[in-house]
Amino acid sequence: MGNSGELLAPWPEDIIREILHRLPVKSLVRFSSINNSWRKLLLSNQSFVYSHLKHATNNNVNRLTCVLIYSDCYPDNLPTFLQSEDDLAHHNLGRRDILVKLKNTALHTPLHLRQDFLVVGCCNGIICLYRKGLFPWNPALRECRALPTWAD
Amino acid sequence: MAPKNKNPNGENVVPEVQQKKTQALILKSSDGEEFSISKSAAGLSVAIKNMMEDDCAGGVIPLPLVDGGTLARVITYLNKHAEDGASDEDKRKFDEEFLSGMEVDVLCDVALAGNYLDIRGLFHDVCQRIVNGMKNKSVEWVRKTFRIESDFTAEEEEQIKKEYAWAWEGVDSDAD
Repeated sequence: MGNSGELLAPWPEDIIREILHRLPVKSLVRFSSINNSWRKLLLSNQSFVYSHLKHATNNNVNRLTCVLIYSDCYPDNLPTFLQSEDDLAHHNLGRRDILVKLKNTALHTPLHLRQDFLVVGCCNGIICLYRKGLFPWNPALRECRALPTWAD
Repeated sequence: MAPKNKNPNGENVVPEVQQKKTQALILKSSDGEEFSISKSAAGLSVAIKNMMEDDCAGGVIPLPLVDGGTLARVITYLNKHAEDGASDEDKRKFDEEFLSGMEVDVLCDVALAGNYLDIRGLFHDVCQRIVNGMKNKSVEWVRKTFRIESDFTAEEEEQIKKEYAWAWEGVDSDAD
């Protein structure tokens, strides 16, 4: 793989690359334990992550960047799909109107996040949540981090 | 407008489409096997089409990166996709059957040939097939299939597995 500088397998690189771009994130996370080259590429190579996302959004009819949000302020408390700012406008909602009850979503969330959060925005599959601080959340990797606050 | 089957001098000529159908060319594999294929089928490969346009058309086209067994499979695919009257549904069914019997190493050879010969449809279908067969497999299966050695210690591997335990849920048994 061009960016890793190491051979991933004794197989043609074009094919390995094409295959890795098509695999779901769950498989890629598991295969990060194949060896160090795979681990570096799959979990910390930014250009691979970017091209995987690009491939997924261009080719996957399910649109991986789509987010399922369960909102209190949405009529009948129906879960709703949000993909962009346009979607918010379409539902006649401002960002701050959206109260997310993560415990009610089908997404896997870290336990400490199972409370109400505001959605600040989302980009490239990462959702930025707010509750007394900012929490970028990657549902595909099931990872959430707290950003340092001004006081820190 | 000039009639379609006359050249600019008014002489009768065989229409180009018909010419392409009837003419054949020879593809030669890395191990010296020769295969006859119609130009219309061969032209579905962008690489062969370019070679034909570069005037290799009179002779034999050597394909030093494709072995005979793989080339035979690729030609079967091209012939079906160039077949008169084959509907998209026919082709889809054919593709499904064509790929379903192949082991992963055969699929990889066909993917490599599809990439080299620039037959995008074949390349993408084969890659997707490999992905479908691989996505729920264990780490050990991938190492064995792709002939990859682990350079992790047992402790390091256990640490990754612990950190991302959810990624190990629902993995197929290697016996499947």
